[in-house]
Amino acid sequence: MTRHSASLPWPQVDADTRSAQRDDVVQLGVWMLLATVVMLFAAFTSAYIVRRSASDWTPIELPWILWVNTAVLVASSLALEGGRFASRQGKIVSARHGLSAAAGLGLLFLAGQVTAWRELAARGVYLPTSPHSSFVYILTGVHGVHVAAGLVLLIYTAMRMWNVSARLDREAATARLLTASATFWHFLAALWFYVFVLVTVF
Amino acid sequence: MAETAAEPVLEPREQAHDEPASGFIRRYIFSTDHKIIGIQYILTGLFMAVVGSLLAMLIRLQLGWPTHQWTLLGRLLPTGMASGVMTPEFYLALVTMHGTIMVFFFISYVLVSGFGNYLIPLQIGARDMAYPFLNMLSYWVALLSALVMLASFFVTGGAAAAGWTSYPPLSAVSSAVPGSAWGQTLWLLSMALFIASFTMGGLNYVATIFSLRARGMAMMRMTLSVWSFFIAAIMGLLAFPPLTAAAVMLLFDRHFGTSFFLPSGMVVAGQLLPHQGGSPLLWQHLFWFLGHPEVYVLILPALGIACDLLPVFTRKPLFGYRIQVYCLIAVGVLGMVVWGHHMFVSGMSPFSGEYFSVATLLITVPMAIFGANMMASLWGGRLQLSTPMLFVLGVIAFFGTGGFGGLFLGNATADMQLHDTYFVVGHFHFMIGGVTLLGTFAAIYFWFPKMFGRSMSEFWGKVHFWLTFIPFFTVFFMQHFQGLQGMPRRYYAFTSYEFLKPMQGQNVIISVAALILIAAQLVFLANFCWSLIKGRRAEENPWAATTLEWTVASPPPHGNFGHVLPVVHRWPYEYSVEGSETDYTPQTVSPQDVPVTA
Amino acid sequence: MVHTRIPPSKLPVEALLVGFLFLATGVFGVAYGARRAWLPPLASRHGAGIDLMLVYLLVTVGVLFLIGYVALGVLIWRAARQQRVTLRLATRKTEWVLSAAFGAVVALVGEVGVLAIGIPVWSEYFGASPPADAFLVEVTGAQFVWNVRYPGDDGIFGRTDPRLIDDLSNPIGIDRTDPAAADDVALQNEVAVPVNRPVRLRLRSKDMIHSFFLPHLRVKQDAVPGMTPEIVFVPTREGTFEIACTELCGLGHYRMQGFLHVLSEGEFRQWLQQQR
Repeated sequence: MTRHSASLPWPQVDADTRSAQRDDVVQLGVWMLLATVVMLFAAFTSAYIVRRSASDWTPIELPWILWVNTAVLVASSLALEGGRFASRQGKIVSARHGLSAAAGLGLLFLAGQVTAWRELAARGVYLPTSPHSSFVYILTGVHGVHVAAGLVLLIYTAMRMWNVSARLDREAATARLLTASATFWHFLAALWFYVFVLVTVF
Repeated sequence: MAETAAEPVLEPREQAHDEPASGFIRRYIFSTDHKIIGIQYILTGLFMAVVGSLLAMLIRLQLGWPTHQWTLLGRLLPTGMASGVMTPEFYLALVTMHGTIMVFFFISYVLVSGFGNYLIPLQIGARDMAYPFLNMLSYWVALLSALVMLASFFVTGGAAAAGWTSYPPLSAVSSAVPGSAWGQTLWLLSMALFIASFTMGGLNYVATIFSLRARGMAMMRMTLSVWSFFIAAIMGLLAFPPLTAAAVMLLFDRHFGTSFFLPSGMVVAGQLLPHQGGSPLLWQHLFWFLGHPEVYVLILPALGIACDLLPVFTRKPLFGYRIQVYCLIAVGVLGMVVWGHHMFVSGMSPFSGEYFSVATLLITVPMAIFGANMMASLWGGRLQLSTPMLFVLGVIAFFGTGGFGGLFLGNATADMQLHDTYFVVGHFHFMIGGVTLLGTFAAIYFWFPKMFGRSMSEFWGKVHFWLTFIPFFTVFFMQHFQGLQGMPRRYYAFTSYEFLKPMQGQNVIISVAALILIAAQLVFLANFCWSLIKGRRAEENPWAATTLEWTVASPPPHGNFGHVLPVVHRWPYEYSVEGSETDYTPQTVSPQDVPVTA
Repeated sequence: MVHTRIPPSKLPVEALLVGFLFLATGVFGVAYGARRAWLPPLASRHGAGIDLMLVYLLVTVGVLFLIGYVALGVLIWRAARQQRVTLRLATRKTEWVLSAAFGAVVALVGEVGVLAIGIPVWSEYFGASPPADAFLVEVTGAQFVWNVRYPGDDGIFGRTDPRLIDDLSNPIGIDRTDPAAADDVALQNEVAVPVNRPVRLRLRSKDMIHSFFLPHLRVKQDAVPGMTPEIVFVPTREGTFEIACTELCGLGHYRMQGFLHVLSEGEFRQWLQQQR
């Protein structure tokens, strides 16, 4: 008994379509990577929730600079989006400014996180001091490591934008990199919101 | 159904395939070519297998003859076996490292990373993986991970000794056992690197399979090997991060005084520890959340590969292809939610125990169907007892045997008696050591000609099979019954208990069989190495198979398919089609030449 | 049709041998397994349920195992001697029916049978609240010894404090100022219980995770530091039974031998008197 499968229509592939396909492949990879980071923080969250339910939980007071850092990270994402918008309009100088601002603010965020740690340490609140402090340090630390990685990516993208040439495929690759970096960066901002709310409210 | 003849598909430069690299280093060492990377993983994994096997040999020497003095070994291993008698702490390090190395650095490297990388682009009709640079990075991080793990043998206190499961507090307190000094830290760092490497590979597998399939290569025309790599990669991507989280927390408990896993009131080596409020069970949940899917990550490719080899050596399609795919998917999903069956007597709530029992027993259904379909594929075929096929038959046999043991352990009631006994050891060795090992060998014998352009010796391959199958069965089948008799695992010796003394004879038989098993692998290694240099030259399609890798040269050129990517018209199991001149029809043959049957 | 370059097993001998070896594996396996009763002689009440589960599985799995290997052997022998493919592609219906049938068999054995036998046992063991007349005893696992404690006539365990722990004189840190601790009886590696009375065993750990395993009584429970799991079992046979540790706890894990003495009421009271 023969079985026939449906024929599979395949569009003629031109350069733009190929580039768009590559865009999709890269974005797929980025989203899958985000899924793994979500699982990582889901695991930390479950550990947090379990520990939270014990009777000896005494939350520590968190440094106010964390609020500033939050604003800085949001500003960084906004700057990045401004840069992307400009790049789509072809305004390459504005795009570079946006990217540099985003990277600079990202660096400022990390510095702010370190400052928060130092303030905690000055108050005598270290990693092992209490379960809450342990989680605060670890969650902000692991998030910070990811921010550092994202920062490296942003700086690399910014450097690529400084060398944008007229070759179409090279520009497309840089645009792709920008999209990927932005996705990752905005995700880190959203993740920071989540972490911040978790350790302050819950 | 009017498909036009294969038009030259325009070179998708965005498929991230660049010009072939020049120079030995760029072509064979730091290569981004998935075939080279796959071979690198395989060779690394085989080396680690030798290490893991030597550890097994030492374990069985100790268990078979616990009072014997091994003078030669005493000279080779002065710290662990001074004056020829093994210390208990060395034994525990052996057991820990044997498990860790075999699971992560042998089977995962060879089967999942090695063959996954090699086969996926070839079998779906792509030139390379979606992210070739990341792919190359994944191998070098993997190698670094293996080196860190090996280095842990040489630090103060020796290698980690808390079992491959690394339960705290034993793994968290450095004075608890010598391996928990620096060995355990290196273990954790090595695992972090491993997970990073696996993630890079996993992203590649999923993206490539989603996006880079050739024209006509629908998902339901993919080989079961590719399906299994696909599902395994998704499982791994989702399941590994919790172990990363756990490893971070354990490192902090060990070195920075936190109490994620350590409760208050612990007194170790006369010292009251300052920890407060942690839970050892938290580690178990996080570990097994990875640990259980991990075993499916290992076994699914072995099963997928076995299913793909069955048609080649029966010259007829696989029985129930679609059903096999659905079973793999079902196992992929269910496998993520049954981790608690490792924790029935852990102090976890009995209600959770009931849930995990029911869920675990559900997995037996798709797995049993899968095995039955594999056997049904033999019916009515022209069976060819080549070496790869013998190993496939071994896979089927061991899958059933090991799977049956799972029924005992998956239900909480029987597990009460069998947990942490040799029944568990027998069971998981059949699955991981049996199914995945035999599947790995089947894959090596089968794809060796494609990879290296030469064939391995069939005769010595068959010798290798029987010298592996029979001793393996002996060792691990008997261990099930040792478990029924109550023999606990991870015991350095059984000399302290009256109820264990009658089993010493069994231990001797098992050790002898194990030594034969290990020695038999020399036959394989000799065959492998010799064939690399002097094997009979292989042609493009020595097995007369239908999948895409067999339509190109052995070994395939950089870029795999020459100037034009293949166009696929049929599923991968077109054997013995009526109206065909040959009894195999490659996937690229047009429907106008030979009818399409699926 | 041109056949492949690899001919099927022309030698009937090879087909027979390979088929036979697989078949023989199954037969030997079952013969080995059925040779004798493997379980340690039973000495507890709930253990009967566990044994029932184990025997049920041994029999059903044994049958499936034998059928599987015999089928494999026969299929190999047949298929290896065929010169042409006789059944190329089964119909969709056949595939689904066979899969469903086999799935149903395994579901019956593995789900229905197992759950029918298992759930009552599990519920009895964990679900039922401990009977009022249960005999109380506490075991604290440590590297590498079982610390046993009886609550004494007041039936209450005295307070313990880890700061009071001295490995030699006060291994579990009993606070002797607590009045409830005055009649506590502490010893190591020996537990005695009266026969046919429920034993309510409280497990603790001083350091690592240990696991309290009584193979003859089908009792196993991890002793986890920071937790106090309790189990209830009824010894049904007098005698001395070994206790083994079944959770890796360090280099002495293999020699944490303890003894459970199951005695008649009279003998037990005498024994306890001697320990004070």
